[in-house]
Parts: sequence; structure tokens; C-alpha cells
Amino acid sequence: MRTYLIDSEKNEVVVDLTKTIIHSSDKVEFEFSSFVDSELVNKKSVIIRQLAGSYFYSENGVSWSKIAKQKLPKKILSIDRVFDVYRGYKPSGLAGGGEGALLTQMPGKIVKILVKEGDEVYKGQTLVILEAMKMENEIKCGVDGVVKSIHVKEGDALDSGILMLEVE
Amino acid sequence: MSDLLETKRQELLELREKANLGGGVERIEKQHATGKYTARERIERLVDPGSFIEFDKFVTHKCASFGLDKTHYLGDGVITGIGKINGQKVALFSQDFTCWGGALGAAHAKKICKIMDFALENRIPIIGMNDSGGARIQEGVESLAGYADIFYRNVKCSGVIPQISLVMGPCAGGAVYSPAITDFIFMVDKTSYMFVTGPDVIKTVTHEEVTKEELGGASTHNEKSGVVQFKCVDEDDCFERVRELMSYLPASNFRDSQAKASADSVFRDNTKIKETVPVNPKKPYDMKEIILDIVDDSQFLEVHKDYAKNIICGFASIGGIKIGIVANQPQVLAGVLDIDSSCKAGRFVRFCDAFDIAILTLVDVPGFLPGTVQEYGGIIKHGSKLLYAYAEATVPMITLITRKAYGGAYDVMASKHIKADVNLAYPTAEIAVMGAEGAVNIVFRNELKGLEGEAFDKKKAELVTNYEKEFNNPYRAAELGYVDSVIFPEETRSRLYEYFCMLKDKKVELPRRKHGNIQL
Amino acid sequence: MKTKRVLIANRGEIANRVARACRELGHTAIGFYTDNELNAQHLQYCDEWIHLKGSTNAETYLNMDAIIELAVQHKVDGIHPGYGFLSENGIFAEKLNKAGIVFIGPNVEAIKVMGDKATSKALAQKAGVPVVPGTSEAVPTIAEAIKVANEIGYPILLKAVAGGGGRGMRACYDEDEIKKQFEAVGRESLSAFGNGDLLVEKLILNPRHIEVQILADKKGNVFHFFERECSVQRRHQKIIEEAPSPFIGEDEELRRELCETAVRLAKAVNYDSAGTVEFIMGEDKSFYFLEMNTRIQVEHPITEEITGVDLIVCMIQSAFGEDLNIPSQEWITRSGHAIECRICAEDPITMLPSPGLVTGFETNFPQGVRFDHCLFKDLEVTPDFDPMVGKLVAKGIVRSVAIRKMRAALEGVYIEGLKTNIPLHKVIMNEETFIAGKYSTSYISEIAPQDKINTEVDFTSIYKKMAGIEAKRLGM
Repeated sequence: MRTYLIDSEKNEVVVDLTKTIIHSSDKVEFEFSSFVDSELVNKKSVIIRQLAGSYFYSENGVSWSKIAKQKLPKKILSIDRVFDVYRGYKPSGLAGGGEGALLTQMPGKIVKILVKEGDEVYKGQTLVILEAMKMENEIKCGVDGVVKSIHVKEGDALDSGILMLEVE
Repeated sequence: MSDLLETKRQELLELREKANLGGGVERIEKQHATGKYTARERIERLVDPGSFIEFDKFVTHKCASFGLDKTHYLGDGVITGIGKINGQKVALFSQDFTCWGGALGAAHAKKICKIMDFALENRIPIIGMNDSGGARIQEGVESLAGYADIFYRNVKCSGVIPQISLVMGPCAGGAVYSPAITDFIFMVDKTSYMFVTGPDVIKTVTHEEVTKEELGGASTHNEKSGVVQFKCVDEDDCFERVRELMSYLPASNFRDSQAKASADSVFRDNTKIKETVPVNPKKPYDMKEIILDIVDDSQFLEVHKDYAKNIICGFASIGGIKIGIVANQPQVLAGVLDIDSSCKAGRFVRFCDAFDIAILTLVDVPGFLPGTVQEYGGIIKHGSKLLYAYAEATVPMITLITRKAYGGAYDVMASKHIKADVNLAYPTAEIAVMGAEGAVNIVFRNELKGLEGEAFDKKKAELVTNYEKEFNNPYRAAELGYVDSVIFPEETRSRLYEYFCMLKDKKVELPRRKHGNIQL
Repeated sequence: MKTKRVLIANRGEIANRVARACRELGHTAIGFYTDNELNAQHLQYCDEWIHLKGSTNAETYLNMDAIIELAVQHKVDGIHPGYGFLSENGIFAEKLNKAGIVFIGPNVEAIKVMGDKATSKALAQKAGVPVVPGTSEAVPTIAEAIKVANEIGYPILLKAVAGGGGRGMRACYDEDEIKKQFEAVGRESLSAFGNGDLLVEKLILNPRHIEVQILADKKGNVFHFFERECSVQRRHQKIIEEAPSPFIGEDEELRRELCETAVRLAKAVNYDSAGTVEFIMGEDKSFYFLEMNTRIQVEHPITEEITGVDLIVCMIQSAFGEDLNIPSQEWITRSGHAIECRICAEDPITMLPSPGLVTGFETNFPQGVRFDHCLFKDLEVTPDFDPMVGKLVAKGIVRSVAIRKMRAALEGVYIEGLKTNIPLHKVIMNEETFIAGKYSTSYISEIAPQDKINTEVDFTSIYKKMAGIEAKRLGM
């Protein structure tokens, strides 16, 4: 199970809890890994033990260090950063969409193309105006990048699902 | 410990070990190679760590035909049990592809039925993970009976406990109808497919050439057929979305769901959406901007994200109160109602109603989509589904008209007349039979007759302006009490929270009947 | 000895500390809580609780009339003001006297004299205590300030008459800077202390901030408890203090001279409580009187650790006119070395306050560590009050042992959810200049230990925290 740690600058640390072994009522073993560039690294097996009302942590089952017992927290501290903890899933809506290819979502007519190939574009910039259902729809860019290719021209009547342009 | 006791304990340990291995190490490796987890790993990764309790670990089949008695897998190719998701109890079954390709036999089906009965009796949600080649042919009609037993239970559970299906491999033939009946289907991109008849059969019967992926892949069902509510990138993503969905669902109907914890203040001003709704009815805008700003922490779980995008359905919370949101999306097809969007929203509204989840409807609808495709396709009967669903719903319902609410679509979108509890409108709202231009053409056709060129345009413009003045506002409806309050966009969140609080204990009884006859 | 009712007009760790002293003396400790402090930890140590309505400083701990009214209502014998807030407010002490309540602190006259930079400096000069060259009265204009500056030589310091705690101070290295800063400092002082008057004095380069702890009773006995060095400062606020001063080191002659000077000054103002005489020491070991704090100070624990005397208890005894149980100055001896690290809810690198919620708190200390704090799980540190949440004190027979203990002690504080300056302290405790004891008040800006903090995400520590959370979730 993954946990997402996201700080106020939207930096993300993804930790995957891959295994849980309950040894006894006061001793549990967890196996953690973390995602760096979509690869699982830093795999580590850790053991938590309860003793005299406190939790103790060990990597080898021999030497133990105390940890602060927390009530199901929403935040984790790392030196000078406080991460919001999203345990189990990253809620929808938090992550902005990011798609480089712009497809028509409905049949319509291209009113205007506001960029040309090679232009640098930013997320949220209007690239194309498409008229459909008597409405002028501003087709916005989903990512920061450069316009790679434009497949349509002004005045084209398009079906839905047609690739209009690509951003890289 | 005596030696005998030690042997007995050892025996249990060995049996457990054997059951855990399912179809064996070799097949497990094969499963991993295709980018899939094993049945057991899936459960482990879905539920809260360490919370899974297994049932029927040592069940095996009794079939002796076609040499099947030579292979027995402990558990018979399916893992069932109880676990916790976000601390909430759920019943689970997970088909094990490593045992006969997850094929379903009598014992296998019996295990699934047992856990479904358990879920129903204890009123906890059931989650099924499908990864099966189909019926176990050697067992013949017994396996068909097994499917039917599951379908029957799916129907019995429907509307009582939430049912979620995760299609994580093949799911073909009759087997598809179990997920089909459940409330939500998740599919994993590239590794799973669903169809009633496969590409081979299609080729022999209709001579169509189609790949499995094209025919029944996650994208197909998510975008084209609308069978699948959630398309997931990979299995881990799938588990995450299930956990997120579960955070909005109650354990069963008539069981109070717990408030969703949030530190987001309910009295936060929605300054971000102050100018989101353009006054010009020709200009589109993104309704999601409004949704994301009014809900807690901008967290919104969209259902059917890529299907019928002209209507948005999804779960969110306001001040911890869990709600279902239905909203027209002016950015896509101007937000019209058509066959697909009516069916999508209709089913969503019925789900919310069945499980006591309050509904917020955001309206910006120009009407129903015109055209032969729609009429031939049965927009009349499909459109009625949404109307039926809203009129039947007894959960708290709040409707907010952001801009257009024209014609019959105004009535359908949870209007006052079909018993929404609170109807609100922004100052930009326009409630009318139709848009100004169309209305002028009909109402003033005599005045316009005979006029041509500039004179026509001038006269028409004047009439349109007059009409707009008269109808392009929410105050006519407010005078009649069809709109309870006209609010500023920036106070949306706090007002909605207050109204939802007031509606918390709403109780409406429908007339006694076996069940209504919704248009199907 | 009659049991007294003592009201603690303060919050946080010092309220804990005073309440515990009251408990020792058998007095009834009465604690305040404001609207947001229903869970405040100091209430655990108090015998009675009073609700002080409001949430801001002005509404609560600075609200003299409300405090006095409540004190009268609850038949309080004495009020301990702690540090900060009303602890050095002569008007408050005066009002209390009128209401027949003992102010646990010095007499009103001493507060007033020492509270004003100009009069305190004049008095010090009269008592033969060396002072930093500069004006003793407020400088009204920029031109005047420049004139004085030219007389005593640059660099100079612009200072608020009523200032303290490092606020309302600005160094100027030439005329232009005086022109630039004069009005700004005046405005700042006016808003912070209600008095915009400024002084000009010589700026001592690479100074050490050394102070002497004084304790006096109403019978005219004045004792000193040796010195403390508080040169590790950020934004003119101390973060690490130690006793004895490593700068004075083995120079017992200098130490005696310094301490006796402090006693002389205390006697000159008829001092009758716990107080601190602050000196600034140049690199040539010449020292000048800076100011006298007529209250108990944040860093008093290190003095308590090396002398074994409970200063708060003595302060209360003195206020009620009781005997301090100290036969003579000779009985006060020091042994060992103590270091204090102030634990503040702040970003360890920028050192700016960082309020938040403590989601977990545990300690695991070596022997010889004292932690005066107000931390507990669920404590919410609000921006309303000072970010200091605790004081970690380690004592060893020699300085190096104390540092070693402090390192271990810092490793043994587990605070979750709240940014603190513990990582900074950890770096300082391993930093050469500090270990050598050769630091001045510009330590933080020149050596910049904050830049040596490793801020990379440490997966081991994150796994550790997550494992704890998962274990808790499992119900262990």
C-alpha cells in the first residue's frame, strides 16, 4: 500500500508498504520501499515493538530506538519540511491533469488556432478555439512544453476524438 | 510440547504454507511477468496492512470428471475473507489465476456465495477481484449453476450493501454479468478485458476482425460502452482508487456514514470562482473549477470520468458531509443532456439515493441534444431515467443553477418540482423555456414577418434584448418560490454546508409498493 | 509558614516551573487558561484553574485589569509573572501593591529604574559599574544621533529606550545608515513598547553576552550565582546558553570581579528578588553593563544546575519576606558545566516561527538531562505566543561532557508534526567553533550552522515514522 507525502511546495515522496507480518501482539514487521523516478528503491524491513507503552523501532531486531507514538496523523516532519500524509491513496482532484495530445471532445468547427509549431506553451494556455453546440470552446493545454505538430487548420469541421495538435 | 502435538502444529503450518502458494511458484512468476499481482498479493495490497482474515482456506473441489481429481489446489482458486479498508470492514473475494486460470467451479462459486451471504448478513460492502478464464468446463452445468448463484446474490445485495468489482484479468462470457450488476467496476488498463463473446466467436459469426483490447479493454469500456466507471493505470492505482471510493461509501444502506475528516474551513470564501461563470451564454467554462473550489480540500472523486463527459458525477465532501455531485459540464457539448449522460447520471443518482448519500446538482444545461441519432437511440426513454431517478430520490438534495436551465432539462435536473429540497441560483442564472434567440423566433414570428435585411436584424435584436431582460435572470423563478435563494458564487461553500446540515435528518416515505417501474 | 495562594500570570513551560515550585513550598498554585488553552499542560501542575477570557496577548496575559480583578476575586496572596508579559511592568507591580497582592519579583522602584535604559545606565555609572560609551538620555533627532556617534566612534548601535529581547535595536556603521535607520527603529519601538525614544551607544565588535544571576531578599542580603554566557543568538534572541562562561574560563579573578560588580549594582537599587545583570564583554575581556532584567530569566535552569539552588522557590520565599535559607555567599558554590538549548517551534534553517500541531511527543534521555517544557501530544502551537516550547538542559562535570550529553539528549527528543530547531542544535553541538567555546554573538550569522543542516529526505526516518503510524493503526 502506498502512502503519499506531499509538502507545501507539492514535492512528493511516495512510500510503498509492501509487506506486513504480525509476529505477535506487540511485534510487527513492515517492509517499506520508496518510489524514485517510478522505480522502487530503498527497500527496508523494519520491526516495531511495543514496550512499556512506547513504540520501539529496529532494523535488525537487536537494537531498538524509541519513536513518538502518534495518533493517526495527517502530517509527517522531515527536518525543515512538513509533509501532508495521504495514506493509501492520493485523493483525486489534487493532481492536475497532464496530457500532451489534444483531442476534440465533441464534433465542431475550428474557429481559430492560436499557436504555431515550435511555440513554447504553458499549462492552461488556450491553444485552439473550437465552435460546437453554438459555443466557442477554448481548448487549453494540459502540460508545459513545445507545440510539436498541428494536424488541423482553421475552418476544419471535425468529428469527436480527432487529434488536433501535440505538445511535447 | 509433546512430539505428537508438535507434529499436528507442523501439519497446520505446512497446509497454510501450501494454500498460500496457490498454483505454485512457477505460475506466480508467470503472473508477475504479465504485470499482475497474485490473488493473495492483491488482497494484501488493497486492505489495511495486516487486517485480512481468510475464510475457507482449505476448500477443494469434489469433481472427478476428466481427470480433474488429480489436481487439487487448497482454496480452489479463489481467496475469500474479511479485511478493513480505511478502518472500515469489507468482505472480499479474489480469483486466483494461478489455479486453472481462475476457472470457476462449484466449490469456487460456493466460497464466493458464502462470503457474499456473510457480507449481506453483516451489512458490509463486498469487493470482488475478477481474474478468471471462465467456467471450469470439466464441471459442466455445476459451474454454470455457480455463476447463477453469484448473480442472484449480486441482485439481492444491490442497494443494500455497496458492491465493487475489480476486473484485473480476463472476464468473459456469462461471468461479466456479476460485475455488471455491481455498483462500481474498476478495470486495469492493458491487462484486463471484458466481453460477452470473444474476438474468435465474433470473427466466425460476423466476420469482424477485432483485438481483445479493442473489443473489451479498459479504455473501450471506460470511454465507449460506459460499462466501467474507473479505468486504472495499473493494479496499484486500482487499489488506491478503491480505497478512495470506499472513503465515501457507508457500510450499507440506512447505516450512518462517518464524517470525512477535513481541516478545510466551511466558512472559506469561494473567491476563486467569483468570475468563473461567464455572463455570455455562448462562452463555455469548466464546471470542475467550481466543484473543486467548493468541496473540502479540493478532493473530488469522479465517477465515469471519460464517459459522457457532458455530465460530471462524483463524490466529495463539504464540511465532512459526504455528498454525490451531479453537474452539467458546459465545456463539453455545451453541457447538454443526451442518452449517455442521462444513463450515467441516472445510475449515479440512484446509487446515492440507495445509500443515503446527499446529492448536490449543479445546473448549466441548454436542453436535450437534438438529432436523429438521439431520437432513434431512444433519448425519450433514456432521458426519463434521470428524471425518474431524481423524482424517486429521498435523500437530501440541493440544486444550484449556475447559468442556463432551459426547457425540459430544467425540470429534469433536480428542480423544485420534482422535490429537490433546496434550490439555489447564482445571479447569472437564466431559467426559461429556451434561449432568447429561439424564443423570439417563435413568440414574435408575426412581428418579424415581412421584415428583411437590416430592419429584420434591428427588430430582432430589440426583441432579444427585451426577452433577455425579462427572462435572463433567476428572479422570476424566485418570485414563484422555485428558487429558494439567489446567492453569490463566493458564498457557495458556506451556504451549501448550512443547507446540508439542516437537511441531515430528512425523512421522506414513498408510497408502499413492490418497486417502481423505471424505464429500462 | 502560612500556606499562600499564588497566581501564575503566565503560560507555557515557565508556568509549569512556577507551579512545581509552589507545590514544593506547599503553596496553592493557581493557573490561567485562555480560550485556546483548555488543554494547556501547565494546568496539570496547578491546584486551581482560572479562565482568562480572550485569546490574544492584549486580551489575556497583558490585560492587567482583568488579571488583578480575577486575583482579588480568587483571594490570591501573590502573583508570579514568569518572564515576558507583565514580568517587568512597574505599573502592574504598583497596581498589585495597591490591591494588597504581593508581586513576586522586585520592588516597584527597582523595576522602574532598571526598566528604563537611561536611568539604569545613570545609576550603574553612579555605582561604579562600567557602561558602554554612549548617551544616557534619549536622542531626539538624527543630527543629534550623528553627533554622538562621531564622538564615541563607529560602529554604533541605535537602541530603544524601553527595548528588550533584541527588538528595537539596529547597528549602524556610518552616518548614512543612521539617517536611514533612525526613524524606522523609532517606529518599531513605538509599536512594540509604546515608546519611540532612542539611545545611541558604541557597538562592541565580536562581543560576548555574559550575565550574572542575582538573588536578594527583603532583608538586604544580595547573593550572586555566578555567570551565564548567552552569546549564541539569532535575531538578538538567545537560543543556547551555558554556565559557566567558556570565554571567562579559568579566569577566576575576572569572574569574581564581574559577579561582585553585579552585586554592587543590585545593592544600589535595593534589589530584593531574583534578577539578572547583563554585561557585554569585548575581546579584551573588558565588560560593560548592558541592562538588568528584574525577573526570572528563561535560562535560569543552567544556574540552578551548577549551583543546586532552586531560584524560583527562593524568589517566592523572598517575595513573601521569608528566609532564603542561604547562610552566606560562601555557601553558594558551583560545580560542573551546564548547557541549555531552547527548543522553539520554528524552521531550523530560516529560524522563522512555524506554528503547528504536535501529533506525537516522547523523550528518552541520558542521565543528567533536564527538560522544562510545555509539550504534549495534541498541543497546538499558535502564532499568538512565543514559539519556545521547551528548554533542554544538560549538565556534565566539564564542558565537553555537557556537550556530549546534550548531543544524546537532542537525539532523545521525539517531537512529531511540528517543525523545531532541534536539527540546528544538533549541528551546533558538533560544530568546531562552538566546541572550542570561541563564539561571539555573531556566531549564527558568521558561522551559519543552519547551512550545515542536511535537509535531504531521509527515508529511514520516514519509514520509522510510518511504521509507528501503521503499528498504531493495527491497534498495537
